[in-house]
Amino acid sequence: MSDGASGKGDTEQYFRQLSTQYQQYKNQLESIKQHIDMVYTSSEECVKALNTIESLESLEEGTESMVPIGSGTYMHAQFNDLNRFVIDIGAGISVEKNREDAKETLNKRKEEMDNAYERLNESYSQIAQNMQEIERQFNEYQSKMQSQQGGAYRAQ
Amino acid sequence: MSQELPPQAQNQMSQLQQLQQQAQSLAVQKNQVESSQKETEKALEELNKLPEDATVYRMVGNVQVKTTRDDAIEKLEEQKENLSLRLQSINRQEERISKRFKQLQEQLQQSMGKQQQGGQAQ
Repeated sequence: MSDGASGKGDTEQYFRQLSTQYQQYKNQLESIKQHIDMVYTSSEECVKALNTIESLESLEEGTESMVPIGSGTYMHAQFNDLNRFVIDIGAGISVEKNREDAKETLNKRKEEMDNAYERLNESYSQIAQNMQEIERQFNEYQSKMQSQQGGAYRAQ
Repeated sequence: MSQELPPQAQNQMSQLQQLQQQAQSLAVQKNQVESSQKETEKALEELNKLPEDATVYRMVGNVQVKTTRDDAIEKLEEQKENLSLRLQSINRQEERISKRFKQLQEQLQQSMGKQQQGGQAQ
């Protein structure tokens, strides 16, 4: 609580502001949590794609495969080229890359996602810490009020 | 509380609420356009790094259609221009709404002031 807060009115005003700030932090936290989940999923997808590319390295061209068409249904297909991959670069554009370039792109993308994940987690912790501080101030104020009320009852 | 307000002030209040909703919806649109802009710029950056004969696919509806690097760049530049125009239009709408909001706020304050003066006179 600020030292400058003088009188009951000021204290109430201070805690009203604090309460609004707490709600804002709560909303921010929810939004950051959603971003963290999204970034984590994207990073995991990069790992999945990288593992698939690496697993396909040992296969021979012409190997039979199955392509998922949804709802657990597959169609037969054959790998005609195991060195060319098509990567989505956003804005509705995909680019064909050889194995090494595809891996490089995916590794770079994963790194970007992991950095974003770290930054978001830092913001999350900072906001959670700020919220804890507000909670602490509220609890302190509440116990102070309760002890004052208790004192008043005893005096009666 | 709103029942105590004169009809004019009530009307101003509901207009203010409508404007607030419009401003919120515009903010969401602006966010979407800005994020599409960033995505387009990033894709353009990637395309410009590729050799001219690179194989590129463009999403048309639900299918990927083979295209050239230069054609994809042209389409994305067009898209970027359209997004920029949309952003300009959103900014203009935002300015209009903010101006109208302030105007209404002042009018509402005046209406409330008049009501208070009327109440004191009685």
